[in-house]
Order: sequence, then C-alpha cells, then structure tokens
Amino acid sequence: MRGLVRLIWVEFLLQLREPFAAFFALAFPPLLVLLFGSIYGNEPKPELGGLGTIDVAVSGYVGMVIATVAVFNLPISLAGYRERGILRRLAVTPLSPFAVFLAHLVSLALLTICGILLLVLVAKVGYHLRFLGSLSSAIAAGALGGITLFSVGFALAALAPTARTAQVTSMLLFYPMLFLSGMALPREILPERIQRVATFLPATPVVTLLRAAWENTAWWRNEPHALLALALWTIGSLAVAAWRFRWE
Amino acid sequence: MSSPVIDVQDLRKTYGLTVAVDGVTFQVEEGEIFGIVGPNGAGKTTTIECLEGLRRPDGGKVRVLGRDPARERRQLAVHIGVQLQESALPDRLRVGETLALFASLYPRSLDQRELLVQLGLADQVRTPFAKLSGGQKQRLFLALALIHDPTVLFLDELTTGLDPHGRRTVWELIRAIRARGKTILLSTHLMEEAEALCDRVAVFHRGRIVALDSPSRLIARTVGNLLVTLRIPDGSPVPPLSAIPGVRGVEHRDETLTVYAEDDRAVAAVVQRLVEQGVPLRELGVSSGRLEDAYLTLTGTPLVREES
Repeated sequence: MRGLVRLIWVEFLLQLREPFAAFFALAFPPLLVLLFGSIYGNEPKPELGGLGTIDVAVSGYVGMVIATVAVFNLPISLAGYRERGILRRLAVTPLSPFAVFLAHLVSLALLTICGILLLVLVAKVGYHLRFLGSLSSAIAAGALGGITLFSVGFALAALAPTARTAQVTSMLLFYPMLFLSGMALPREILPERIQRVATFLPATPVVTLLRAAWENTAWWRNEPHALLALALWTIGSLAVAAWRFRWE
Repeated sequence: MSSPVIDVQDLRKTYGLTVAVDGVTFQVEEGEIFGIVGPNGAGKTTTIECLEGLRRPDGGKVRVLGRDPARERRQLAVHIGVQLQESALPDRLRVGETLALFASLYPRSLDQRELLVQLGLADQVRTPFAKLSGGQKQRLFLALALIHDPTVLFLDELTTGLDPHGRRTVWELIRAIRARGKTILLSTHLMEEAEALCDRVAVFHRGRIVALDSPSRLIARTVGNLLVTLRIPDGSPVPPLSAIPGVRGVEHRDETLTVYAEDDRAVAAVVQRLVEQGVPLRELGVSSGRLEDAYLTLTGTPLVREES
C-alpha cells in the first residue's frame, strides 16, 4: 500500500516533468481561455442560451483536458514503460501488475483533475465563468467521459508496439477529435455531414454530456445516444486492451 | 544436508523454433557465489529469467528457496534481488526518488543513504536517470537489487559498463554481501570477474552446460594449471613441444610462443627441450593458467595441439 501510494506520486511527478505532456494537460486550455476571452469576451448571448462564449467553450475544454491525458499521456507513457523494460523491472518486485496499472491510472486522473481545476480557475477569475448546471451532474459526466477515454488510451497502449508509434496513433485520433468533437470549436459551426462523421469519434459523446451538464440538462435522460456510444467505446476498448496488452 | 537455495533440473525453454535452453541442471548452495559464463545466445539470460519468474519454463523444474518462481513470483520477490541485463527507468526519475520508491515496495529495507555511499552514488541523489553515465546506471540497478537486503541475488551481467575502478568496488561489495551469508548467482562476460568472485562456474554453450566446476579446477582440467610464454624472434626455429607429457597445447602466434602445461614437471620438460635446442630463454615467463583460455576451449575454440 505504501509502495502503491509512492508509485502514484512518482508517476504524477514524472508527468509534470514531461514538458510536452504537462503543457497540453495543464497550460494549453487556460491559454485558450485567455486567448478567446480577449477576442470575444464572455458577455451573455441569447443564441447561446444566455451563456457567454467562454462559458460554452469551457465545457469543451474540460473534454479536451480529459482527452489529452487519456489519448496522449496514458498510451505514450505506458508504451514507453513497456518498450524500455521498466515494467519488467517492476515485475520482479512484490508489486502486482495490477498495482502498476492502477498507479498509472490514478496519477493520470490526478493530472486531469489538476488540469480541469486550473482551467476553471482561470476562466472564473478572468471571465467570471457562469455555470448553470449542478456540480454533481458535471462531475458524473466528466467521470463517465474519463472512464471512456482512458479505456481508449489503454487500447492504444495495447496496440502500439513502441512509444513512438503510440505518439503517432494518438495524434491520428486526437486531432480529429480536437476539431470535430466540439472540444476546440463548437460542433454547431461544422457542416451537417462532418457532424455526422464526428459522432463516431469517442470524444464526441463526452463533450455532449459535458455541454449538457453545463446547460443544466438531465443528460442521463436526454442523451441516450451519447450514453450508448460511451458504453460501446468503453467495452470495445477494454476488450482490445485485455486482448492485446503485453507487459514486454 | 540442507536443500539447495537454487535448484534447476533439466530446464528447457524454446522461443518458436529456437531452443534457448536445452536441458540445464545445476544447484546453488547457500552462501555460494555461482557464475554463469558463455557466449551470447548460450541461454544464460533465459535461465536467469526463469529463476526470477519472468519466464515460464517449457520443461524441467526450477526452485528458488523451495518455491516455483513462475507461480510464486510475488512471494519470492521479497527474498530475491534482481539486476536485469537490460532495463531502464523513467528518464526524469531521480536517483534518490528511485531508491525511495523501491524501498517502499518492500516490507523491510536497508539505509538508502548508506547504500548510495557504498555504491558511489551519493553525489547523484538529485540526478535524473537519463543524465547518469552507463556505470552510474549500472550501480543504481545494483542498489535497487540490494535495497531490501534479499537472501538471493540474481545479477545478470554484473559489471557491464563499469570502468576498472567501479568493477573492483562492486567486487568488494559482492564479497561483503556473501560474507553475510547471502547466495549470489551472476552471469558475466569477463573471465577475470568469474575467476575473482565465483566459487563455481557453469560454462553455457548452445543452451547446455558444457562444464561446471570451480575456476581453478576448470582451468586444470581443460588447459592445465600453468602457462609458459616465450618470445621467439621471427624465423627462429621452434622445437616440437606438443608431444611432451603434460603439455596440453602449443600456440605460436606473431612472435610469441604459448605452451599450456599441466604441472611443474611439464614446464620443466618444456624448458629443458628449449635449452637443448638452443632457444634463448631471455623472455621466458611462467604464470597460472587462465580461465579465459579454459572458457575458449570449452566453447568451441580448442587448443592447438600441433604448432604451425
């Protein structure tokens, strides 16, 4: 137990020390808030249901933090651990493979939470972020989205033979999600056909739930399609991970 | 008589069509330093990894401290210290953090500071793994193998990447650990190391053990106890020596004549023959037989019996 806690802490520190990973998980989303806030401000707009540009964008950015950590940090670090024999070295300690897995998961969840808190803080202080929903509904939506996207990340780690290939496959998945799933731009501005394509990306239902939570909609009742998509992505990814993951 | 600490019976391991280990049997007793030597691909690492529980044998029986490593890896992990042949740590993990992490994984651990001092890493506590030299990395892995004061140590290529000073320091440490009653199994490419440290050495070749004995007996058996060297200027005639009783082999390469001899009597006979033939003895040397020669003989480069 003592070992597990220390491993989680060490993994967390290592994520912070990785400049690329730390930048995109922690610094990039608040920078976007500052950038778009300075351009558009955050005045309430009738077409956004009384919310401002930043209010709406932040729900997408929350999804972006989760997706960044899940699709970049997780597979790249796990594939790197395997490739370099770090998992082998841990395998000859009393630590169980499951504990190593868990430590990765918890440390990355901590990183995600830090990223979201930082984002919300900057939006709150800089642009008086409005939030109409209930906190518990937003946390539940974030947690569900996190479970799904982390599962996708595990599947990527299981499929990638090296950290480098993990990086490439992560990018191939991440950038379409960033622009099409409603994380960086609102989905509504995209053509109908592209929106339809976007429904097949795992981050799209995550953003749908987060947006709904932000606008105080009962997503658990009103978004059955998104929930189904999340369930399918989670089950499919975990199956792939269980089938293909190798320790060495 | 107590049961051996390490017991390997007819171990077999195959990767696809390649037979890596082909029926290996040996025992290591408590307090022993046991060496495994052999060319690359001889099955050394595979054997050690079966003992560590990292690989499951295809056949035979493996026991460490009476336990089956493949099935009881985690229970065994507390009692064994492991240095893998190829391993790495996260680039940005610092030496001090690494040791603290590994110490926390075991119920009991040694004083971290003291261990770092012993291994000459005291000044590197805050150095990240990627910034360590090859020798420092190797010593850090040794520290990780020792941190929980294990009963049995598996050291795969103990001093690879260490300079001569570092090697001597590590040898001293290994001897001190054995003096505290620990059992050590190590593999090495350096015959000097095997000779300096090991009570017994198993010579691996193509997945089998071709010889297993103490270094001195291996030398005596294969190349003889004594080595006669003599400088012979180009063109000078060399008398035939290989027929002399007790002469195991004769080599004449460049300007150096090397005679592998079993004992003093054989050396005396060689010297006598040389004197009779009027070969000047100005640069004659007699030294102990070398494990390196025994090793080469056992792994496919037999001594030359007839001089060219």
